[in-house]
Amino acid sequence: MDDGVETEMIALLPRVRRFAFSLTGSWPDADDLLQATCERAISRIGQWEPGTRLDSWMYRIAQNLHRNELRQQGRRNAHLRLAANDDVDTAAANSPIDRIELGEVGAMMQRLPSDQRTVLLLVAVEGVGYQDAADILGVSPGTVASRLSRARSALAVALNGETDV
Amino acid sequence: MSESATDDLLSAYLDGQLGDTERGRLELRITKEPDLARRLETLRAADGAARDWFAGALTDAPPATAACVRRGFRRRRNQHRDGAGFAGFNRWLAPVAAVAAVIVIGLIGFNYEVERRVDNVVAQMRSERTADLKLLANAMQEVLETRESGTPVSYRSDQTGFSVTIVPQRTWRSQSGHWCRQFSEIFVDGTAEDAPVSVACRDSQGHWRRVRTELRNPSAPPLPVEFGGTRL
Repeated sequence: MDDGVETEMIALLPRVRRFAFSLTGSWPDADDLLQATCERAISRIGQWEPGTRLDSWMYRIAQNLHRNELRQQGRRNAHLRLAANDDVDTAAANSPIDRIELGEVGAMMQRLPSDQRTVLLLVAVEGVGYQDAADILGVSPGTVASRLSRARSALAVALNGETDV
Repeated sequence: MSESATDDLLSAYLDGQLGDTERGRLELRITKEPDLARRLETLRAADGAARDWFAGALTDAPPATAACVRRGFRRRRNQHRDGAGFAGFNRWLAPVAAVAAVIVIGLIGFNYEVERRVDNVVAQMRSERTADLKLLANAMQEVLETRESGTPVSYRSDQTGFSVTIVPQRTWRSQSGHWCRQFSEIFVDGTAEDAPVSVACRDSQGHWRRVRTELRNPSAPPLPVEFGGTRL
């Protein structure tokens, strides 16, 4: 069984990495979360049921690890840590390269609360249903719906800002 | 209806989450209310913008992670092979012992052993990833500082088996006066065709900093690159 799962997991890495980025909002943190997710997934691969979606299972692992980390450090410490990372890694959101390429929409995407950004990725980009997204994120489908609506509203503001310029 | 409630409704409509009756009613309103129709299009455009943005974020995982996953699975397979003897021993021991307490103690011990092995796999994966990232960083510094363009240089970690071949491709001076180099990296199991192409520039301390890496879709037009606040 392991051979097929290994191949599938490696093929999924870009998507899991993007999901991790939607959670953390920074690439260095996303890579750390991706690594932790792979470690957990491989060490617990017996708990994955063949025939079910490996991507959803890995997303759930990433989401749980991220949530646990935030809980352990407390929101205040987590924000301090993210701020410190931004200072250290100039290739992250502060870099002029990113600012040029991001534009209004990109800037808004980075400003979105991570829970809204993650729902947007799952539902609007990857086409995951409300119920499945709720299962992955450990919230109710109603919460998925309201986060999604707020994310779209915020992006609409950014889009209108762009067209006004 | 408030703007937020309208967005909730339109958002659910976009995702096909409305029942037949509610959808029919909304579609009728859309045909009669131009503001509502415009709002729907704006939210649809927001989805399009999100898809474009996230498409740009779909980049290859760091090669060190993929290599780490392969090694993690290999290690698991090896441990399963070793574990077969362990499990066989337990199967033989249980009927002979025939004492519940012994079985319980044996199971606790077996679970402990499984957990210990899992922890070992994770610890080894972490340590190897750190080693791979260090190898990659050192290799990039050395090649860009000392090797001519077109000269491939290969590195291999004795600890993990991770290997990379770096090929400097061209060198130029940016408008801000920094030396910059484009280079490709061919990783273990990779081919020259799917090697990511990167640009690094040398900062004032002589340290080569990776400015960008193009990992996928080589036919896409190159994105603008800046270093030190100046377009290259």
